[in-house]
Amino acid sequence: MFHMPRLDKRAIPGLFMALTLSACASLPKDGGRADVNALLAKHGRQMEAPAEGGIDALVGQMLKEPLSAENAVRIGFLKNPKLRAAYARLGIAGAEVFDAGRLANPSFSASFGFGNAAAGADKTALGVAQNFTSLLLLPSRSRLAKGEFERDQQEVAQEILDLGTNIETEYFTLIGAEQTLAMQKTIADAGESAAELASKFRDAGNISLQELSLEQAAAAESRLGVLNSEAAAQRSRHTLNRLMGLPADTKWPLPDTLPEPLKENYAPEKLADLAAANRLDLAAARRKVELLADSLQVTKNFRWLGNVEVGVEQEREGAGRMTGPTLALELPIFNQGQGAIARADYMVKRAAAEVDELEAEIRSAVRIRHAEVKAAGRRALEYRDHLIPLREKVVAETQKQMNFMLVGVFDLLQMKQQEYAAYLGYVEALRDYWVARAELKREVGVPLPCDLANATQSPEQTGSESQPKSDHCHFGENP
Amino acid sequence: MIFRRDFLKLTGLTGAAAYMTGATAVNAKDQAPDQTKSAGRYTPVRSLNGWTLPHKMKNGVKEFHLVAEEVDHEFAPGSRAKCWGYNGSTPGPVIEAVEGDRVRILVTNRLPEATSIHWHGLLLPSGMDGVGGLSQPHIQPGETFAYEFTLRQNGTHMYHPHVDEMVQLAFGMMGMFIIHPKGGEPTPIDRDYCFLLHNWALHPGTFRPDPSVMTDFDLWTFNSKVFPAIEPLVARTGERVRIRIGNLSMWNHPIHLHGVQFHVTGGDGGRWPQSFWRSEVTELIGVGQMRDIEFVAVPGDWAFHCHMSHHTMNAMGHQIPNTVGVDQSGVEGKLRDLLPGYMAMGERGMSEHQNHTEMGGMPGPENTLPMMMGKGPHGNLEMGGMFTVVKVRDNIKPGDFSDPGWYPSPKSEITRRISTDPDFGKPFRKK
Repeated sequence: MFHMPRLDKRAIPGLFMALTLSACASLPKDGGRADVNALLAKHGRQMEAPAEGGIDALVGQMLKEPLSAENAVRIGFLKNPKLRAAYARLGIAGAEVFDAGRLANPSFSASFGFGNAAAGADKTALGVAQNFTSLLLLPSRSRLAKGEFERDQQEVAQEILDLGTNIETEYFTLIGAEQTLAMQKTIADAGESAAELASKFRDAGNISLQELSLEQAAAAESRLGVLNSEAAAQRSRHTLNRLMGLPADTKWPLPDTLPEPLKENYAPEKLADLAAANRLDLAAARRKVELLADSLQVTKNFRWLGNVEVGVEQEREGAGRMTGPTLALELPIFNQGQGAIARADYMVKRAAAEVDELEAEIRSAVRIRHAEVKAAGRRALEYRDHLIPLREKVVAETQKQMNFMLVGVFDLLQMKQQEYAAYLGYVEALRDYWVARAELKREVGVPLPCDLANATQSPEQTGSESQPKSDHCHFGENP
Repeated sequence: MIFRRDFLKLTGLTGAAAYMTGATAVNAKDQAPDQTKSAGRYTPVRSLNGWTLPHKMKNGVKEFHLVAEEVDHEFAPGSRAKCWGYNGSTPGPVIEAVEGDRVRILVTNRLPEATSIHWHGLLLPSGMDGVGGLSQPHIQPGETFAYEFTLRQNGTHMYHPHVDEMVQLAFGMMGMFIIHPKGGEPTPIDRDYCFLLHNWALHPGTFRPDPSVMTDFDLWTFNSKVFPAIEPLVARTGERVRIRIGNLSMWNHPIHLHGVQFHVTGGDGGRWPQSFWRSEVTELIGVGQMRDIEFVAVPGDWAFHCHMSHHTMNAMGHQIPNTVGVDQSGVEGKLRDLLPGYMAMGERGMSEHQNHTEMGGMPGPENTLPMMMGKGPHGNLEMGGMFTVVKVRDNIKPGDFSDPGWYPSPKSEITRRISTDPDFGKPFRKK
């Protein structure tokens, strides 16, 4: 008489649950998409799902007006294949959850022996066996797989959020590039006019070849500036089209200018706290630690449990029948699972360290981006409020000197070029500001508090004419 | 018996007292310097736009008091600057005396730095010569020094600092020292004018001259004024006019008078004997020199100016591109897109410039005069700097220095237009 192996009492309800679960567990209908969209909504992105033919109509509508950052992201979420890949990945994870919740199939064995005269009657052996370990582990495996599925949802959501930020970053980069290009064209036009004027002086015999060449060389240099800017703008437009999932040559209107820096103040440490609390990749990393700890416990609990198979077998020989249970039991003689436990333990430790590392990176990144936003904003205001008006004053005063023939027209044109250079610097600073701000949003992971406060007007739509509702927004700082 | 005292009264030479106080020696603008009390002694000089320093008699010594100080000076309406001068003006007041006088000149220093006064051309003891450090200790700010010496010559002389000379001269510190001959003029002079030549680096848009400039100056002046603010030299037809000119600028000036051939009658060493007189229309006055010229006035408006053409313009641009002959018609519009105030100038020369600056809409830097100014009876004069007019009329009263307006040329004595066709007359022209 053999002993049935002692079942862990805890496994009994588990057995019950497993049997019921295996009856109820099914593939999530949308592959987990709804859960991901809920996560995205919490992090400030509403996902749209127009009817199949409606996507192109909706996109076409949005591309008719000057593109806003918000619409660029909406289009990207509708058209970029990355989303389909991400959701499919999620579906794979969902299928794994399904598999984890099901018992392994039993196996059926049959053997036939055709005897010769000496052997006597034919022998037939039939058997059915079920892996018992899988039954015992079913609740744990199911629970862990569900946890993994949630982690996958967080990671997919993070991927989609990153796409959104990339689109925003490229959007501001593009406007900056186009604005710079427009300025470079103005500079080149001024250079052309100066060179043309110089050739008139040369025609009259009033300047030397050397002086003429100097003016023409300056004009050629500014044309080079245009060529460089054109290339940068093209690159940016192609990149944005790709990120939005549109064909490379799709044309659409764009605002002419970047908006002014926003009047907002953040306590950088509070933003870092916000990021640490809300970043999905950090949440996924923390979840991983929990799941690995759970897994470690399961490993410890079942360390003595190897492969166990129970079954039923019947042997037929002639008219004789022999029926009885079968048991295959792995004996933990050479290996009692120490390696598995150790491995699981270190995996927990590693995951915990990785959480700390990731949190430190995130906090640091928030601080860095915040500093960049602040610095670029200050630079832009310095250009706008001081350098540009001063350069304009220099031009006006130099014009007065020219009126009295105290300086020549080339001196005046040089002052004008310096004014243009100041404006170029301003555009660069503005672009740096908005790009850094988009990156800051990525690092924080949730909409910035000041954007939420001004939710009725999106910053990109107010442009440079109006300011957000409140004159100044403070978060976490005494104003 | 007529006592000497009575004799003096009879001849109008009332005593020293009233005359010697010199109370009325300051020029009212259009009145003669007080001539009645000085009749027989000398015709007081008229300093263009200037004035003569009064003196006190103290025990037979003529005592003058100069104050060296910063002054707020106007070169012409539209251009003022912080300059340095004496007793509130640049140039300082004329010191006028007679050969043989013992003079005492008190000098109070209200400048921010030390100064001294050198009496240019005077024969005097070494210790009175006024070279700071050499003849005397520097006059420190706040101090008053007394110079005293007997005048042993007559003629046209000057006074100026001899401490930190380049700076103090650049800011305008100078004055004339006129010594009349004891026995009166050998040839009676009816009008005796004097002025100093000078140059200033008052850069456009600034309010203080730059003392470090050596050759490229901005303003050229007679008695620290530029045209159109320089007084005219007025005379009656037939009067004998003397003009005394001193040069404490940094360049030599060929001074040219229209309408007459004048005689150069004296220089640094006083009046020359007649055999030394030169008949000129232009006299070059070198730096540090004085020259007297004399002529008999003939009726008309006669330009009187330095013949260096850039010295008869107000501030000019140095090394600007040459716009004469440059056709900007195609490109001017494009430049106006970048520079709304831009206007092509000078293609056909510079004469149009005065109209441009006067029509409005083309302002210059603040505190800066246009290069070319002045309107005459027949149009723009287009002048500045070292330029004025000698105005002689038949009907000007002796001692009347008021501006008689413009000379009305008789119709037969004014050039008249006879054609507007450039090919008129087909005269011979070299090819």
